[in-house]
Amino acid sequence: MTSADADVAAIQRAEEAPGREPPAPVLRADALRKRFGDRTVVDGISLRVAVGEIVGFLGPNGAGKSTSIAMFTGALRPDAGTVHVAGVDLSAQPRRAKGLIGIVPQEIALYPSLSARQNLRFFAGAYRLPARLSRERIAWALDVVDLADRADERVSSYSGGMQRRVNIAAALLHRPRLLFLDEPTVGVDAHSRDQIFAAVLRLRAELGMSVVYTSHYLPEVERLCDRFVVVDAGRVLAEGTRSELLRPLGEGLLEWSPSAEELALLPGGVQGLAARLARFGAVEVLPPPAGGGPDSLRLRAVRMADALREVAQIAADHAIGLGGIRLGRPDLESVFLHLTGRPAGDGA
Amino acid sequence: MLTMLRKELRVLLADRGAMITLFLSPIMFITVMSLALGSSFAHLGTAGKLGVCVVDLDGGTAARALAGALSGTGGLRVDGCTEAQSQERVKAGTDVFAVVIPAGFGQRIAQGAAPSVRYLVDPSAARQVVDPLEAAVTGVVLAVGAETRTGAALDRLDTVAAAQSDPALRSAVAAEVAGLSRAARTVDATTALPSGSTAVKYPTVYQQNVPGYAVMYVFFIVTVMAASILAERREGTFRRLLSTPMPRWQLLLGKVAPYLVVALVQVAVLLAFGRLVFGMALGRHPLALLPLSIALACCACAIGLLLASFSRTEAQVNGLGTVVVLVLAALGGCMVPGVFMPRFMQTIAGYVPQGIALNGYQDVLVRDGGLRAVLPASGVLLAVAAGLFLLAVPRFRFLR
Repeated sequence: MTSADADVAAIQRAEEAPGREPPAPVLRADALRKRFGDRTVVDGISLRVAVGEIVGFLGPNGAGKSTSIAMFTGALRPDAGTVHVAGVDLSAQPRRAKGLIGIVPQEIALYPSLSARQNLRFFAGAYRLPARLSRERIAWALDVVDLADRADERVSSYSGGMQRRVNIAAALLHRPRLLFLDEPTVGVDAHSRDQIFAAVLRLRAELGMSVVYTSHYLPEVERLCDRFVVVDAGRVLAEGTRSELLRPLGEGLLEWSPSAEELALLPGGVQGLAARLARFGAVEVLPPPAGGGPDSLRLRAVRMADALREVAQIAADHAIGLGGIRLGRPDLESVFLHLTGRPAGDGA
Repeated sequence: MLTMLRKELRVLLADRGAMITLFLSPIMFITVMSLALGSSFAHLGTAGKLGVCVVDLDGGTAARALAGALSGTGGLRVDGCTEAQSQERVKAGTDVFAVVIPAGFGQRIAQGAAPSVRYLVDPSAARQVVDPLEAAVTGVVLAVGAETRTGAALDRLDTVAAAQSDPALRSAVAAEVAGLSRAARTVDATTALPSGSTAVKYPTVYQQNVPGYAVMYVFFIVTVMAASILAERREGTFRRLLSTPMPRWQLLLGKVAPYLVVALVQVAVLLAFGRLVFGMALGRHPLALLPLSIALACCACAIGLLLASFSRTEAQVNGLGTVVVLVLAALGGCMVPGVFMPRFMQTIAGYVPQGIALNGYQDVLVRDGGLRAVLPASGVLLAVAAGLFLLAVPRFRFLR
């Protein structure tokens, strides 16, 4: 048993003891700050990850996400703030704390001229696994990512999806309590993505592993994660479960872009419409599109059914059509857009 | 550490480009350049004596004495030839120099006039070779002229003495004549070196090219190592390794140590190649090559680390690395022997790591130096390495 295994076992025993306190978070990061020259990249980010929890860590490019992950994992020293991994202070006991962490970087952090097995043997050595345990863990990790039959081929000969899976396997050898997955599905096909999801869920089910997951592709984050943290400009903008994050956006989204002729029939124009719909949720008047045209209106409805009845009444009263109306359900993409002002495709 | 060492060597062995750069390329250079420059090094008098041909158009006693005196001069291979042959031989580089003794050479001396000769010089030969050679040959001509004239004068004096009736006077004159005759032919001179100096010898073409290209190509580790560090940064393997329990110092040392090993293997392979294929002499104390090679490898790795610390892209590494490797190798005399360089370039070579290392190798290979002979060069190289490490380490970044 390695020192990392011993730490995990001790923590699990403590958690299972009768009359125990609620389990301590496996990651507790408090008020992390980091500056590069004059630029503050991370400005007081805090994060808690519970045992067995999968947390989506989201933010646009330059939000401070990668720098935060580098500090959570001990690759970068924070200027201020603390990180505890399963109760172990990362700055005071870095070797012990790092033994509890696994990181899957966004890059394919492998040596392409070596085989998957040779790569895994090297990283097992970096975690100081004894030779016999190393062989067992390599076989297990290859099984988790479903690559046991191609283990002795050079990584450079693998498809993008296979390389991503070896990238994950390299982070599992010491069976970390907390796994960071930074954009693990970039450039992979649907089949490989499903295999990666299956591997993550298996790790949680079998080992109670906690995961911090970042991705550009929000539908996959929604599908996989229990909780989400949205960061921008080095700060946490919002965090919570999906429903907690969607709540401010209301039950639904209604966008109405009447034509200039229709607006002429409405008393008060777009502003008049906004005033009539304000009691059903948050209303924004949107400027004309780039190609020209009248203003439009966006309503995040708290009471969608009532709002729709009101819209139908207005249309009937003024004999205007409903062709300019679009309805939508809020999702994580809407949350992201609402919080950062940018779509997730720009770099979540 | 061992884990890093094993991995790094595996990665390097799988990199055919690096293997060609570090091992095959210097072997090719050593072979081709040694074959190409072999005759030029013969001019240094190490692969044989300097070739001089003598064209005797006089045929008299004084001319034969001159040819004989030249043959007896150390370091010269003297052949008699016709005037047409001398043109061919000097043009072809077979001989550096031809001495043409014109008709009437002996007669001019007998008449008390200055001896007259003509020289034919290889235009491609180095001035450092030709000028002393010309001075030496002129000295021999003067000596032969003086000796011939003195001999004739003494013969006449001998005849005058023999005609004297006083036996005591006859005997005294004969003794003086014999003494003068001996004195005219001999110089009582001894050769010594300044205290602490080793015998000055010139390297053979292999003793120049093998260590020269070995030193030059050891420094190619600079670009290979720096590129490897940048690749670890770019591909995120450093980021991953920083999150393992491996301490940073171990990670850094684990990245440098394999290249030290590779540089030592590189020197060993190239010296063994020179020895086994070309029969290059390794001197009387070949073990003295070890500390020098370790110091050289440390110096190359320190430059590699410095380059990786200051470079952000592989283009910078390749550009700066090539400048470091090629320019410093040229300045250090790895490509062109120092003896062919002007004085100020020879001075510069003494301050360039490559030049210091090469001189150290030649102390062992050529001048039979031992451990004491290589200590100064090894010490300087280690000091340079330490300085560069101290400069590089605070600037070193594991992350992009």
